[in-house]
Amino acid sequence: MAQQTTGHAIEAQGLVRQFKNGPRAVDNVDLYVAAGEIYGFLGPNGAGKSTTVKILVTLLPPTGGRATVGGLDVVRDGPKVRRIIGVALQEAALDPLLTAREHLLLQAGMNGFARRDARARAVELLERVALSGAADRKVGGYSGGMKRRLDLALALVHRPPIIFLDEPTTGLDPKSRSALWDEVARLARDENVTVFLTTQYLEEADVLADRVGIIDTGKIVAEGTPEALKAEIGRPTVEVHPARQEDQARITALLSRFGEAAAASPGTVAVRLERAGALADVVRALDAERLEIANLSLRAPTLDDVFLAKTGRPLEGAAEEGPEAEPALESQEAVVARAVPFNVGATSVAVKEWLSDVRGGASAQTGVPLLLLRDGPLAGQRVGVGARLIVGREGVDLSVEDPEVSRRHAVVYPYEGSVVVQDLGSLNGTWVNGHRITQPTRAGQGDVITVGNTSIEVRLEAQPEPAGNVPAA
Amino acid sequence: MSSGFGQQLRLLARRSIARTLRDPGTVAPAILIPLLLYLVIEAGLTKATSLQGFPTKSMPTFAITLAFANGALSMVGSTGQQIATDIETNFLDRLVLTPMRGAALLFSGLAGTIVLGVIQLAVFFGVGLATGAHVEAGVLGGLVVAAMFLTAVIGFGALGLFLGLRTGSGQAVQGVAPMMLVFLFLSSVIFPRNLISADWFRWIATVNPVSYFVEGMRSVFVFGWDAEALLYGFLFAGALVLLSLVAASAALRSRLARV
Amino acid sequence: MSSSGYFSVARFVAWRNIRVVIRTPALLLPTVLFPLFFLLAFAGALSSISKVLGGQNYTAFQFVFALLQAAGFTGAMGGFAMAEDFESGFMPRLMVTAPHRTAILTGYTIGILGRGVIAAAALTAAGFILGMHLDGSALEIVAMFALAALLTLATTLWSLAVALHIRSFKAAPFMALPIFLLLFLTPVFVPLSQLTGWLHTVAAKNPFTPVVEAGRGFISGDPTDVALSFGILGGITAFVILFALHGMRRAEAAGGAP
Repeated sequence: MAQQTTGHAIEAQGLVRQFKNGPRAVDNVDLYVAAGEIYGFLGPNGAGKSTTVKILVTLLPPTGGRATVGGLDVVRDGPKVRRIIGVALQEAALDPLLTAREHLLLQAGMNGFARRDARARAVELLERVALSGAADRKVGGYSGGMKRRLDLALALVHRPPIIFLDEPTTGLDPKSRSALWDEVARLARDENVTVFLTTQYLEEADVLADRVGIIDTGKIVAEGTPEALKAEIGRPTVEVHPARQEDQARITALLSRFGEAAAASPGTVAVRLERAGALADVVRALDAERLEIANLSLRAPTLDDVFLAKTGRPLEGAAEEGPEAEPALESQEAVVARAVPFNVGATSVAVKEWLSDVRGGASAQTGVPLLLLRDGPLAGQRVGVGARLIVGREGVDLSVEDPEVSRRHAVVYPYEGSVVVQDLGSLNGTWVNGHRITQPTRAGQGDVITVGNTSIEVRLEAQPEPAGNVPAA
Repeated sequence: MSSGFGQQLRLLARRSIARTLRDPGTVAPAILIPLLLYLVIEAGLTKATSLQGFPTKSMPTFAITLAFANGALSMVGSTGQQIATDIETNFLDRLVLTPMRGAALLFSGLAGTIVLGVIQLAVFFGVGLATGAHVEAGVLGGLVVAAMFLTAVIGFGALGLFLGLRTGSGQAVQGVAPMMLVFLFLSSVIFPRNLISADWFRWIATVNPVSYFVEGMRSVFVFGWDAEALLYGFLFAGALVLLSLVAASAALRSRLARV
Repeated sequence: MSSSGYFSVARFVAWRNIRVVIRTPALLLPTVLFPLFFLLAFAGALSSISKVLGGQNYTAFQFVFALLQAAGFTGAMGGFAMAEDFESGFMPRLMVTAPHRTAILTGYTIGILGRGVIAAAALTAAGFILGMHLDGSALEIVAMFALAALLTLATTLWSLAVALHIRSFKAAPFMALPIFLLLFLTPVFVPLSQLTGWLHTVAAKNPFTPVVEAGRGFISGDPTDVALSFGILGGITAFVILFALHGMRRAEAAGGAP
C-alpha cells in the first residue's frame, strides 16, 4: 500500500470543470482536507458535488486548476492516485449476476492480493458490513441498503488511506443510514482514514463531518467546521405556527420586522432574528396585534440557515403548498393542464409534457402519470400530462416510475436564462432533442428533454413571485 | 501493490464466464434460435435437393452450417450487451479505478463468448448429426470446422465489444445486433450460390463476406477437403478477428481516455 | 370527467394508437422490415425453387407469407402497446374513467388494425418493386388482403387478451412466441404437398397452414382452402374475443394492477 506524502490529504486549487455547450459544473473550487479528517461536501442537486468527486478520483480531467490527492497530482499521477484511494460513487456500480463475495474477490485480486489473502480480506469485510449471511447470493437480489454496504466494502478492500463517498446514504432507510454513519466515523477514528463525503443531507454533514464545504452552482460558498459556520450566522430562528391559517400573511409581515425569512415547515412562518434577544419583542408584538399562535419555537442555526444566508435560498426548500392527488383524465383527449407552483426563485421554466415518445422503439406509448419527482418539495409526486412544472433555482429532479430503484435519473435547473439538463445515471439515458447527453447540457426554448419514456418540452417564461413566497435574499 | 496482467486476465475472464453462463437470457437464445432456424429450414427445403446441381442429397448436411453461422453472428449482440451494461451501471468505472490494464478487459470480455461458442459447437454438432447431417471430411474435418467457427466467434465477439464500447448503450447494441441476421440471410447460407437464379441476389451473396465463412464450413460437411473454400473461410474469420480487435482497442482507449 | 359514450372512448383510444405511429413511424419498422427482409432473402436466395414448383412466381409465393407475417407481428405489437400502457399507469387510469370498458378494447383493436393497413401497404409496394406478379382476379386479391386483415384481428385480440391478463411487460413473450411459432411452422418455402418428414406432420395440423395456402391460392389465381381458411380465422377470432373479454374482467377486478 503506497504511503501518503506529506501535506494535506486532499487539496484543490482553482479547480474548474467546464462542459462543452454547458455551464461550469465546478467553478474555481479551492478546498483542502487534512489527513484523518471527515470532510462533508454539502450542496443541492446539480451543485457540482459529483463532478468534483469525479475529478478528484481521476475519472474526469479538470479543465482548469489543479488538485492533489495524497500529495499526488490527479492529472499527472493518475494511476498512483488510484492506488491510494477507495471510491463509492453515487450509483452502486455492481454486477447483478455476481455474489458479494465474488465482487470482493475480484476487487482484491485486481489490487494484487494473492488468493488466500483475498479470501481472508473478503471474509473480514463481509463481517464488517454485516453481509456475511448474504455473501453468496447474487447482488441482483439485494436491497438498496445492502448494495450500498457492499459498495463501501469494495471501496475499502485495498485499505486505502483516503476514501471518497458520493452520497452514500441517498435512498437508504434511517437504520441503514445510521449503520453506515457509524462505520464511516469508526474508519476515521480508528484507522485514520481520510473521508471525503458528498451529501445533500444537512444532518449527515452535521453529524459526521469534521469540516464542511458548502457548494452551490459550482462554487464553494462556505467552508469550516459545522459549529463555526453556524456560529458565524449566530442568530437563532423563531418559527411561529399560527392558530388560524388566515393570519399567516399578517404574521409574516409582522415577523419580517425582526429579521429575514428562513426556511419553514408548511403552514408556519420562520424568521432568523437579527439579534438573539429579540424573541421577547416578537412575542410582545404578536400579542399587541392580537394574533393567536398555536406554537412558537426557537431553534439554533442549522446548516440550512448557513446555506440560506450564503445563497439566499434554503437547501432543503419547503414547498408553499403540496400538490393535490393525481390528476384524473378530464377529457377524452387525455390532456390535463394543471399548474404545480413550486419555486421560490425569480426565474422559472414552464415545462409541458408530451404524449408520444421521441425516442422511437417499442416503448412509445405514454400517458399519465409519467414524471415522478424525487427529493425536494415534490418528493414522491406524480405529474400528469400537460402539467406545468415550474423549475426553481434548486432545480427539479426527474425520475421515471421505478419503485425498485430509489434514485434520481436526471435534474433540470435554470441557468442564465435557459435550463441545464444533467443526467444522474438514468438507465436508459437522458436525451435532449434526440441526442443522448453525457454531460450537463443546455436546453432552450422548444427543446425536448426525454427521460425514460417521457418527453417534456421546454418553454421559458418569467414567473412573477407568487404571493406569500419567501423573497430572494 | 498491483496485480500482474495474467492475474487480471484470469479474474476478469472468470467474471465474464460466470456472467455469461448465469444469464439464461444470453445462453438460451444463442442456442435455441440457431437450432430452430436450422430445423425449420432443413425440413422445409428438402425439396431443393432434387434440383439439378444441388451439391448433396442430404439437406441436413447442407443446412447445418446455418446453425453455426447464426450462432457465431449472435455473439455480436451478447458480448456487446455485456460491456454496454458495465458502462451503463458504472461497473467499468469501478474496474478503471483498479490498476486494470485495458488489454485485460478486452480479452477477458471474450472469455465468456468463447465458452458459449464451445457449448454451441457441442449442441449444433450433436443435433446436426442426430438429424442426419454428415461430415464428409470426417473427424479431422469436424475439428477444422470447430477451429473456423471459434475463430469467427472471437471475431464477432470483438465486434460486439467495439459496438458496446463505442456506444456505451445496451439499447444501441440491441438495435444493431439484428443487422447480423441481415448479413446472414443475404448470403449463400440457405442455397448454393452458383444455383441462385436471381442475379441481384447472387451478386449480393457474392460480395457478402459471410458467404465465404459459410461456404468454408459447409465445404467440410458436403465436399470434404476443398482448399479454396477453407482458405477463404479462414481468411474471413482471421480478418474479422484482426479488424474487430483493433477497432475494439481503439474504442476502449477513447472510452478510458481521461488523465 | 364527462363521459361520452362508447364510440368516443373507442375513437380516442384508436386514434391514440395510430397517432403514435404517425409521429414515430420507426415503430412500424419491425412489422414491415422483418417480413420484408425475409421476403427479400427467401425470394432472392430460393429463386431457383420455382423450377420444382411448376414455375409459379416465387416472389408472389413468398409475398403471401411476408404479408401474413406482417399481419401477425402487427397484432403482437398491439399487445406490447397495451402492456406498456399498463406499466405507465395509463390503462388503469383509462379503465377508471371510461364508462364502457369494452370500448377500450375496441379502440385498441381498431387502432392496431389501422397500423396493419399502413404496414400492409408498405409491404405491398415493396413486393411490386421486387418483381411480384398478381395473377389472381381483383376479387381474389381483395380476399387475400381480407385474410391478412382477419389474421391481424385475431392476433391483435390474442395479444390484447394476454396483456389484459398479465398487465405488465412480462406478457410480451407470451404474445409474440405463439404467433411466431405458428407462422414459421407452416409451409414457408414450398407448398404443403412438397413437404416431407416431421415438418409435414406439424404443418398439416397447424391451423395457420390453410391460411397460408389460401393466400397463395388467391395471389396465383388458383383459390384453395377458401372456406377452411376463413373458417379457421373466424373461429380463432371468436375464441380470442371471449378470451379478451375475460381478460378485461380480470383487469377490472385487479384495478389495473399487475
